[in-house]
Amino acid sequence: MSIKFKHVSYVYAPATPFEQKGLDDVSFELKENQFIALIGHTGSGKSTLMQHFNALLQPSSGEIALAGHRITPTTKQRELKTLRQQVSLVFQFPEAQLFESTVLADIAFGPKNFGYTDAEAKKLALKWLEKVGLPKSIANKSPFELSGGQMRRVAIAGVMAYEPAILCLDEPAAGLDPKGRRMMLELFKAYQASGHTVILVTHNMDDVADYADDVLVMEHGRLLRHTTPSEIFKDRAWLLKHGLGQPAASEFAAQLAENGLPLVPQPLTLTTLTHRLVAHFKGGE
Amino acid sequence: MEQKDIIKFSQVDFTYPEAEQPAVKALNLTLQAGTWTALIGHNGSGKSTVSKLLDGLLFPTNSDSQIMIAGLQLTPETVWEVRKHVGIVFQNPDHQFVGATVADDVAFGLENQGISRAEMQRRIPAVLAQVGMADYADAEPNHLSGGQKQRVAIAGILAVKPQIMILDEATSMLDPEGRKMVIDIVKKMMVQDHLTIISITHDLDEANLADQVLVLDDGQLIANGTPAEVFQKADLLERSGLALPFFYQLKSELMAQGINIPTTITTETELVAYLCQLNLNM
Repeated sequence: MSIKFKHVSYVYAPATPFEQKGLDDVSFELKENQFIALIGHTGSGKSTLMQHFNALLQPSSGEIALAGHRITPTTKQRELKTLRQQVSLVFQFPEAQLFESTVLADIAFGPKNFGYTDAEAKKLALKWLEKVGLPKSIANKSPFELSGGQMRRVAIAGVMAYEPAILCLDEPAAGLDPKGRRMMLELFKAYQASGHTVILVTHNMDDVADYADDVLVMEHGRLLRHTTPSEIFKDRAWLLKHGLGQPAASEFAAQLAENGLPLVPQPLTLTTLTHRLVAHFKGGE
Repeated sequence: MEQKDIIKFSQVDFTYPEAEQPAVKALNLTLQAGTWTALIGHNGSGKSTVSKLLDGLLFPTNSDSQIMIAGLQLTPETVWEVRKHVGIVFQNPDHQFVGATVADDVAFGLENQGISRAEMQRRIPAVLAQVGMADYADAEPNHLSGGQKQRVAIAGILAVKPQIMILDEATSMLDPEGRKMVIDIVKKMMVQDHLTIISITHDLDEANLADQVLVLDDGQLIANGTPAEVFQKADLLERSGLALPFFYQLKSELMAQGINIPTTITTETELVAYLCQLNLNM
């Protein structure tokens, strides 16, 4: 099974003076259980696309097939409850959506909502509290007593606790310190590796290089490209033209190349950049 | 250029009500006018508390402390006067847009300070031009990108002519292009208007652009110096939940694997030049 978008368009406020195309004839097919990065600058249609993954927005035309569901402009919302359990969206600053009186109750809310018993939900909540790197001692605290970074983790644990097959996250690490950021992304990578699909909306090209198998690039509501990180970061002029950056390591390699020291193939991460340089200078190339 | 101390914290403690540990402990800081200071530290290290102390949203909880800002001692009596000199740009562009249009939003701060209409009509187009938003004076916020909204927030601050501007994670929600534009504008304003900039950030590559870097951990200053001085302390930063900017990571990785990089090399451009030279000499 795969995730398939066929000629999907979405129009905001149709037949009004404010009518605007959010998505314009978007088609792609993603393999399941991969780590997908969704990039493009502000206003490119990333969020609109993300909201189609669990039919928060339904296409104005075209068709989507994922997680055993088919979504068309006429699909009824009541047919979509199981889809919502299988595909979860985590928006920016999910900590703003905490509401329960204790951390544990907040994390258990999602599983309970999808039919787990109280005992099962509590067990899952404890498991995911630990998995997101929080101490058990905060389980009975109010989520509102926690620091911003901890609240973020509680909110994300609440979504991961019912283990959706497809997890879509919009800039989940924004505002976290470097260690917290790395921990968070490693958590998503491990989740993907254990048999789930992770779709990450990000502006951070280093995260794309470090974690993604596939990249979707959006611009003006259209899918500009669908390829691998190494392909996307090859063409610096193309990236600049579309207002996108390169990972720091590729940027550095580009400067080396301009000054007469090309590294082939182009490194995307600090580790490969270091290896190539060491091989170049020490390996007697 | 004249260098005077514009911000000085002496022995500042702050403990939140009912908290067991102080959020800020015996903090001493000195910031010079017209410089850029980056304040870094892990989540919960006390950075936000420091920014609230700077703006008089919080006051020290010990009586033998002192905070001096723009020549005034910050107390509940002087706080309104001090705030005229301090502007803050917050993280979320959508949380700080109050006007119905871009020009209205900039006017809001001026109205609060009782500036005359004639003066407002002079200042608003001037500051919007400074941040590259002159063409958007009548635009509504929902037609702007995050970076554009942050530039409007900066214009609103510039309009009231503060001496100090605090960027509280102000670029963390922007795309790379928006981020670069905001940083470039703030750098220009710093020189042109002799503004003092304090940037609270997790972006270590952004901190690397500062004149001075302050590292907070558990409410205490654990490192303070130029970026080159502070980013030498890799272990200390690692222990504190931080990382190094890309340039320092690369340099230390290369050194660890036997490629010797002279200590005189302190920027990415110098490292590129050095490696290319090394290549020619092979």
